[in-house]
Amino acid sequence: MDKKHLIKEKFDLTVDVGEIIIANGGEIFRAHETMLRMAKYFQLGNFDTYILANGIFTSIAIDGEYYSCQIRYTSMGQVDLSRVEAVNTLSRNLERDAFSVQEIRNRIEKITAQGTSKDWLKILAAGVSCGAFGYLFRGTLWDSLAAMIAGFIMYLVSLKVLDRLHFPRMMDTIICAALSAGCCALLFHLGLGDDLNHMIIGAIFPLVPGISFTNGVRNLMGYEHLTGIIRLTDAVITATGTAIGVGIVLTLL
Amino acid sequence: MFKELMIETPLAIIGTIGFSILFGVSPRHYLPCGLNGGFSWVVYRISIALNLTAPIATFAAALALTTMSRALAVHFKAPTVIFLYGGVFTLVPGAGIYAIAYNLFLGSTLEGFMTAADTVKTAVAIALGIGVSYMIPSKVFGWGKHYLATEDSAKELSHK
Repeated sequence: MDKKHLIKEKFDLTVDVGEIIIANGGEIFRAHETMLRMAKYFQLGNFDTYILANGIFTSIAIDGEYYSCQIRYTSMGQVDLSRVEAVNTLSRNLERDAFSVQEIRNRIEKITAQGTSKDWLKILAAGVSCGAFGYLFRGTLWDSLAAMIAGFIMYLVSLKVLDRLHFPRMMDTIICAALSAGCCALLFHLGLGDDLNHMIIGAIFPLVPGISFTNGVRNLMGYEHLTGIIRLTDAVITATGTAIGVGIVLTLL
Repeated sequence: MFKELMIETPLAIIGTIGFSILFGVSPRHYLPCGLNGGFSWVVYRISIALNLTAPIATFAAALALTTMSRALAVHFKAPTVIFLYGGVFTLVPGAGIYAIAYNLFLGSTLEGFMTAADTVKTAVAIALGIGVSYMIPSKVFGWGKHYLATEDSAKELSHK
């Protein structure tokens, strides 16, 4: 690799690392810190970066005179915290391990290729969580059992069907919420569960925008106003979608 | 109350682990995540039992949850959010969102907005709990001793 390509590769790697962190639910300051650490290790001059919830703007100076910049759009998709942790650890150990550029590229590819939780495990976890939270929010054991079944079905459809259809996010949320509520209503009709309200509360728990909300609040407290607003808006949209989905089913009953 | 907590706490732990799995937390953190969620639920229930209002109890639980997450993050040398995201689901107003939907579609609009206001109260309580916890200086958690950096060190790095 000649020098020009080497610098480009280093620059790409640095931005990739930031992208992995924010796309998988990491904090903005962590992405910032990690990118700075990478840039320092790669000796990229005049490195500066501005990071939002859904984009990264970065510039460096090459040979001390030409500026080069990169704008990266990142979608707010599936959260995978183990990737955040892995990239974070990688960047912290750069000095100690003294990796070559190629080695870092290989490691980053390995990190993005791995999904920590298998699909069946996620479906199982979603269902069990629905059941558990259904009980915590005043349901009976039968209610939470019904919420669990509805949760399995909802998450299965969400992972296996909706992920391939690429509807707008809002529609995904509405469909999932309607599906959960519909399953609960069906189970209730079949005689499982004591109170439909509590069944549905449990079943829609995986749709509650807990991450966007928590992260948005953290951002606002940390003077990252724009990102905070983006995430809180996302949370409000998801919550509205959930309410609409449930409401449609309730009206039809 | 203790009898209720005996059943509810394990369920809170299981539910939190479930969400941690959904968020792709690595398996070695499952148990600490779960225990953290259980801890936050216990704080919430005790606060309610002490006759505190729901938003105040939520605030106390969010404060406890975030503080514990930060301590766990130092101990396991991992990002704080890993322990925070799962546990926060024991506090988020999932029931509130349902109540809004129910009231707006079936009940009265006025009642719908009242439940919405309650939900916003809970959300603000969580926000303040998290915010106040992050005001505790990092040194309290022993950040200095570990190689993990904080927001301050990010600023330091950027000024170099």
